[in-house]
Amino acid sequence: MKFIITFVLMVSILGYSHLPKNPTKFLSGDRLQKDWVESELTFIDHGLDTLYGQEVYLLYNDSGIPQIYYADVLADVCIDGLCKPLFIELYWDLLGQYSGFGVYPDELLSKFDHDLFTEQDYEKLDRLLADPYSKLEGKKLTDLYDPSKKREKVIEFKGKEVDGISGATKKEIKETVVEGALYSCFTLWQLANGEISVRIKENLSGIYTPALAQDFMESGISDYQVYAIKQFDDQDFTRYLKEVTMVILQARPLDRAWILKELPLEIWKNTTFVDSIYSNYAGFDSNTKTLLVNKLSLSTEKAALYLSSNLKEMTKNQIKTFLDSLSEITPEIMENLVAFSEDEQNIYGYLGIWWMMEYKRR
Amino acid sequence: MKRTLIVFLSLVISIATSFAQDRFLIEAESFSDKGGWVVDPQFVEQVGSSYLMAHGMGIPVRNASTEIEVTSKGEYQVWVRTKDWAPGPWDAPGRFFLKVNGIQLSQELGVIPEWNWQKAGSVTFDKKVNVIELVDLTGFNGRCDAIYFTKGTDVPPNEWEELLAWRQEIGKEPMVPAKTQHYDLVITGGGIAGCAAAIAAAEEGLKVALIHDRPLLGGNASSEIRVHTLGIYGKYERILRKIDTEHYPNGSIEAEKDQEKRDLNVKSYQNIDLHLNWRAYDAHAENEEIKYVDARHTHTGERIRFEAPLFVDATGDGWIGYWAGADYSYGRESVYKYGEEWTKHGELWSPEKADNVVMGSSILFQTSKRAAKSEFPDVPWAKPVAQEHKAVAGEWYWEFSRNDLHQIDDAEEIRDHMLKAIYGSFSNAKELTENDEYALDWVSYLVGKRESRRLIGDHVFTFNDVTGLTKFQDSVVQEEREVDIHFQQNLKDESKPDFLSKALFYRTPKYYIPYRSLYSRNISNLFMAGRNFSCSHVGLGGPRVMRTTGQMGAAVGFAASICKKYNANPRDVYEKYLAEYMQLIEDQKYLKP
Repeated sequence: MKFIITFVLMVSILGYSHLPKNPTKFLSGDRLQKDWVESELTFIDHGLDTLYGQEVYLLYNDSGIPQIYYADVLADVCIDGLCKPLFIELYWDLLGQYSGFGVYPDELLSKFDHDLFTEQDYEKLDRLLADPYSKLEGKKLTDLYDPSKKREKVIEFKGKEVDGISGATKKEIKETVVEGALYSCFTLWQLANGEISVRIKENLSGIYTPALAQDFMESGISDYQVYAIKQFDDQDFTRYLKEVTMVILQARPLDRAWILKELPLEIWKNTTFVDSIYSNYAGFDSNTKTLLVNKLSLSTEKAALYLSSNLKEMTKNQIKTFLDSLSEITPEIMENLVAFSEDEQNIYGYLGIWWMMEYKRR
Repeated sequence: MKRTLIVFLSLVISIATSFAQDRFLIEAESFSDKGGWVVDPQFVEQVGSSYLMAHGMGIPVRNASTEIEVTSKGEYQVWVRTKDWAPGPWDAPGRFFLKVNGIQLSQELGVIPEWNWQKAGSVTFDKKVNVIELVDLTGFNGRCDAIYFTKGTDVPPNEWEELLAWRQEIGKEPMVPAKTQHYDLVITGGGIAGCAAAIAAAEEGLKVALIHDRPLLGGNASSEIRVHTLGIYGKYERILRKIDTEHYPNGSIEAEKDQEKRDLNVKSYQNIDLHLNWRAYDAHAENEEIKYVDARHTHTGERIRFEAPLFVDATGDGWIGYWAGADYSYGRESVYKYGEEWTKHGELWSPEKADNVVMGSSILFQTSKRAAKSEFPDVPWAKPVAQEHKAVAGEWYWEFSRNDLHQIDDAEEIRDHMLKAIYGSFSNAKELTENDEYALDWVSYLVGKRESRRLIGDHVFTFNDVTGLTKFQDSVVQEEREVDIHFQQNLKDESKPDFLSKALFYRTPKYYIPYRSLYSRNISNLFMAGRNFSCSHVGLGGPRVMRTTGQMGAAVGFAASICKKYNANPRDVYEKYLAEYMQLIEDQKYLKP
């Protein structure tokens, strides 16, 4: 008896019955592990006017490390009190970002004219849900139509008009949603990017352990690594410099910029770091290039040499900043300057010529 | 400040009609017949002068021409100050020739990078009256600042300080404008904020000067830029309806109808002395009080000194405050400075460390489908910017900001980058047969800025004033439109072109802006209205739309009337006459339109 009670408790606590029931249809390019063996009810969201509160579960791997959030969604897609149910399994990463979905084989997504979603429709839905800046953000259902325009086609459900693929759907909205499934898309986007996402993000600090920090750093997932780095102190930057360097090389420009602004001063003189970052200068986005040029005064002569061999990769202002910040002109740097200036393919080669004329004059 | 003052005091005025000397300078913008060339006054502080530009969207524009009288006959060397605005391994896009008395000079112009003097050739004048012409070759924004004729072998200088001194000397321009005019209120900037300020002050009987560097009023809302006005009217519906726009798509030609309405309405006020095509170039302050604003006609070079006890900076870039020494800010504050965090969007909303990033500038354009196939020239010089992007339509999110570019100092490069984005993307789209009939109808050449300098007032309006729904006792502006902050798409996704942005929207109930954000904290007689009002970067996100900036304008216009009544300064209105001021704002709502 005691065993049975314990088992029931374990099930309710760990929630074995709340692991996903269907294979994932999309899961952020398979970047997230799928070896989930345990689940834990994290919270119930009542944010949307759905049939039930959405139970959001945190799934763990067999080492007890949190992996992903999951909700078995039963949403009601309604207009004017007329509803139809929508079944779908949604996923979020530990940062609260929508990460994918799975569908029930016997409850495939359909449009309001009863046509089933095509594979292209599913792909479009995934793209929509993965865009946290969608034009659907902050919109009400009534915002999605342009009442001044006549609808091209009316879709009815049980004799009542319920959805439109029409000219009445605002053009900028129409481009982002699955045709004929405006309300389904709207409802799912609100679920994927609304309050649940915010609460998951807020929950992270509570589950963030040294083990999870280690897992983040080793995950190969840039967003996780960046989050981990944002929790660093100066010693951590030094300790994980190799990993930090890799993240800088691979992260999105926005995250790169944050890390470069936060790096402790001594790292800019670290030979390995300088070699790894400045030697890859050409591969960075323009904003990162600006930051690297701006940091030259904190860095080494080797960094200046790398930059001098990448002048053709710079904008006009970056070149000006670089030339202005040159403190010592080694023969190698001068050689690079001459080569850059003499190559007629270089748009801003004239800046090098002007600078050298001024240098000689001085 | 000093440099700017020197720049403008030393600029040469318009073409002289008679040249007895062996050398003379002609400002291109002073040509009597500009043909299809346009006067571009946007970058005077960087270029040194307005200039003529051949903005033909790929179709060469009609020649610009003017007559000159030369009394010293003989052979002259001819130099043209110009710029290749897209240097690289291709034919320069903005090429043109100079013709003298119908004879084309030998050198193709517009082919040197950066603003500089280019030798055009030589010419022999053997008669008194002569005609010079600019002959556009491409329709792609060739530009000419000035033309210098000399019998000698001298090369005109281009180094900034030297050029200024040289222009001052050759133009024989006195330090002080010949003409001085006096007003109750001098407003610089004829955007929606400046127009509203002028109307409000004029209705209260003030003699107002409204200085604007374009021929049309409205700034970003004008038919030259074509952004529709957003926001609510607040307490100034009667005034703002005279100058706002319908909610047509951005870039629509419908802007011309509202333009006509706006211009007629502002011109109907007898006591608004409207100075169109005048650009301010200096504001002089003594003991932290502005004494005058100097302005120059963007075509003729004529100058006027505007004196008044009160001034409004509605320039958008905060130029009047900048020249006068007003405190200002630029860029994004650290999230910790005012506590403007929005966790959901983190660094995109407000960064941990302050930086110089601001929302970008837009250039709108419009296309249409013609009855027959329409050709568009090859634009290899635009492809490095446009890359593979294809487009036959633009919108507000065609926006450019980059962390090495300053929205004022680098405005010409920003404008040119957007032109490359538009021409390149359109050219790419034209490679598809489905776009054969598409043609460019209109491309703006004016930078539609969102954010630049923000002058600092007694109150700095922040996001907290929005989220807190703070009701100030001096709430003179109210708004309920979303706060939206833009970011470049390529910050999140490197594959996106660098000229496209996205917006982060914060929905809000009605919030309020206090009067104390509408006057300078350290220049005692300076109001500000428009995007250069006193706010943080995030604080600007909401009120930067033009009905809101119009409210600011109207509010300072009425405040100026209180100042005049009591011989008071803007701060006094808050400290001593607030009840009367707020009542005035209430009462004016019921005046007949």
